[in-house]
Amino acid sequence: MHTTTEPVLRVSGLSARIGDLSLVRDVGFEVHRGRTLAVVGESGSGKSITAAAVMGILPPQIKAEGSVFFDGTELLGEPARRRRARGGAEIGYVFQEPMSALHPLLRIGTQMIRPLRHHLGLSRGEARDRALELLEQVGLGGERKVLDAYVHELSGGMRQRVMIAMAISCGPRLLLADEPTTALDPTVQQQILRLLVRLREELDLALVLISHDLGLVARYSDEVLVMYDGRVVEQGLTAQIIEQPAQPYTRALIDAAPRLGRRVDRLPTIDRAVLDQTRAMAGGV
Amino acid sequence: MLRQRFRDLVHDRTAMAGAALLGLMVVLALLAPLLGGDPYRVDPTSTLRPPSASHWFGTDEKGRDLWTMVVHGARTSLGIGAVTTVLAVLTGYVLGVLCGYFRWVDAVVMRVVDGLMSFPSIVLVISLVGVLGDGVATMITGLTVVLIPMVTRVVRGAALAVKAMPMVESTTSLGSRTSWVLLRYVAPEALSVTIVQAALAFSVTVLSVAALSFLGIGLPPDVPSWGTSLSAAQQYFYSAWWIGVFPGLAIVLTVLGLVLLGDGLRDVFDPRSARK
Amino acid sequence: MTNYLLKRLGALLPTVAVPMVLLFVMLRLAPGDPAAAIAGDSATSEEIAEVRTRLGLDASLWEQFLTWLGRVVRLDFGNSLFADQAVSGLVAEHALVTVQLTVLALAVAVLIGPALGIAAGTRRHGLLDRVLVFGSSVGIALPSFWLAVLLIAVFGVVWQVFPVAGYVSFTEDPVLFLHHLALPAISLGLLEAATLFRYSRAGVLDSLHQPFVTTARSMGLPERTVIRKYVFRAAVVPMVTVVGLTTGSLMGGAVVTESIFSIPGLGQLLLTAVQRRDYPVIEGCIFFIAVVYVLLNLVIDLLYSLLDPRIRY
Repeated sequence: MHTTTEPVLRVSGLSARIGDLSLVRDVGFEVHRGRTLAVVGESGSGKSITAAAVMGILPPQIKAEGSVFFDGTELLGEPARRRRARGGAEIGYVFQEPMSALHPLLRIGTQMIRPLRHHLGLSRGEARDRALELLEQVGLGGERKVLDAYVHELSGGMRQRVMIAMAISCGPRLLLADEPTTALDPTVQQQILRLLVRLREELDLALVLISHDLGLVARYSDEVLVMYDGRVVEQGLTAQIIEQPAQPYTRALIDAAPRLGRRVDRLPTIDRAVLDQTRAMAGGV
Repeated sequence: MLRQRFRDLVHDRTAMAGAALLGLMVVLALLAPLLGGDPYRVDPTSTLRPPSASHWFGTDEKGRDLWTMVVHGARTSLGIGAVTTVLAVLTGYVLGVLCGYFRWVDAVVMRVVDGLMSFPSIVLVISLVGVLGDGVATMITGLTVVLIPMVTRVVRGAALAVKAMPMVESTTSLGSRTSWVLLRYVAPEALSVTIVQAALAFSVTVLSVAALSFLGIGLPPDVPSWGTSLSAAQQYFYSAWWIGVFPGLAIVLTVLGLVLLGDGLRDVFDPRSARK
Repeated sequence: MTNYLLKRLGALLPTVAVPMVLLFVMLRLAPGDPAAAIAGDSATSEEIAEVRTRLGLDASLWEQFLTWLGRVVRLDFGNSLFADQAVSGLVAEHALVTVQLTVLALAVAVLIGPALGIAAGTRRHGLLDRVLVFGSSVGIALPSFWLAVLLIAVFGVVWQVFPVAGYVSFTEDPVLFLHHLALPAISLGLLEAATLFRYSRAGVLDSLHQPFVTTARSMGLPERTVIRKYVFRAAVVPMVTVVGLTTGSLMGGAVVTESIFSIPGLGQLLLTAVQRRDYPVIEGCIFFIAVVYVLLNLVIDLLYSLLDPRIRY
């Protein structure tokens, strides 16, 4: 809407169903190189399903329809093998729980080196060197032992940095981060978000940041997509939406986020009336 | 709640297949005197006859009708199985509930249970029968001792879980009599896991009785039993395959029925531990 | 580590103590006079009295227990009532054979079960999976001795490719040794393979959808690599426990299998002892099996700590 270049990712009319139950309906958005899109909503709003559909890692019982247009190619309907091969090399994915998303019984080095060798054809030694560089890039440069460590030996922040290093390791153009900071302490949350934005700039990535916390991701994103009950209820430039949310649901999301500099006596909750109104508006049951 | 669970059970195809198999064997066992002839009638003139119209399953090495031996064997297996299961489940149930409730009982009983559980049960039963001497009562005693720990352990688990439930905790802190709390909450909840264990215990008994009588331990040799018939088959297999086949099939069908029923019961009564 | 080992040994003590005490109590609670039963129908009262003294049944229960405990702690089980041979020697001699049979049967189970479990688990709902799942259900209901009888009938009697009974020691002739133990090991191991099959299939199915496996997929690794390097690695750890338990039940099953194939192992020793009520031998067999169980448990613990970096003692 503001650049003339082709977006890296253009999703349109995306729906996902499990049997007769609709999980995501008619979702559409674009992300450009060097830009961040925040996808915000409560749990169950369909934001993670949307990301998994883009990535092609939906559980087999969930069926996706519509269009996921990535870098000039339609991904939906692409043969599974082609689709799989794009993972890591073209699209990176950062999971919510680095503790469970990293293999508990394999050393960090082993897990980082395998995709490097597979996608970039590096030798074992080259891949190891590259892994060390990547760790440095995500701020784990001084931590020499990380490659030989197991995931349970790292702190929460370190784990997520490792996860991010892995996601960017094979040169993706799009990075999807699904609630990347939810499992972390508040101070570490900010560090990780700053890291993601810095990497987006350094690597000229298109970044999709999925979160339930609009207040947290607002300052790290250019655009926002608000989802409720599997639908997009509001989307636009972040600054505008924070300033003047069109929907009561978005306002409620903004108010629900406690922020520094504003005293909160009691954590506000989204009250039922607002939810019901949004639900009616979203056309859902 | 119990009625709903039984309704679920009726709709569980696995459980119903198991129940059907088991039901068939129970009918055979109950009607054995009507269905078969005299299991003690030895006929030296017609030994090792192949299956025919007069002897459906053929005859064994002593000239006894094998069909008669199989249905009377069902009586032996299921009879001992039923008595053992009832004894083991009742004792294990009481012990389990007590363990879940009284810490000192738990400390003692669970050590014993652990010790017995980690030992191969068939070896223990054989040895107990060896110490106590042959006989049906001895076999039942040995099998019961081996099975009690299995029931005790799961019932104790259920009882501990119930004890931690808020409503029970609040009743205890209000000073309800312990026995009342036990009856009111712990016992019914533990009942559903016990039902599952009963099916398992039953299948273990049937297999063990067959194994023991196959080895010639415990049961007097003239009592009709599947294991005894099979052990004769070792010598006559080449000339009389039927002795080696029909009693074996009877064991497999009975145990399969119990295992399937147990699986179904677990899905319905104990969904937490049921396989995904 | 030493501390841990001591603690574990303490926890495993009941495995040895409970069956032993149970035997002790049962013998003394048994209806009738065990000494008379052991001495036989035609025994004179002097002979019965002699047996009673040998078993120490003429003292008070507490005295009996203390004497008994003292002997067990010193690993002194006395002599067989019939063979006039030390129980320890008898047990050691027969145990060697049983251990060999158990190891072979374990090899059969471990070679067949997990491989099929992985094959079925990664092709869920396929024809192979359905056939194997059904087969393993039947396998669990199949008594090992019946399988042995059937195998003997087919391979020993009809085709005559394997001997139906007997034992040749490994040092005497390794080929004949394997030839004689093939059918027993297969009949014993095949059913445990069914158990291993079910567990490894469940383990693979469980691991296939673990988040860390999804991560490997999201990194674009081919499914073959994902399964070989990520799924197996996760599924193998719980299998250690299962294989340990399997080894235990194989030893139990060996008792029955040995008697069918006339293999002079612990099972045969125990069965003969049970038939003759040779009480000291029964005690010795049970003690030995219990000790093996305890050692097995410790080995499982050690393997666990080797395979799972999260566990350190």
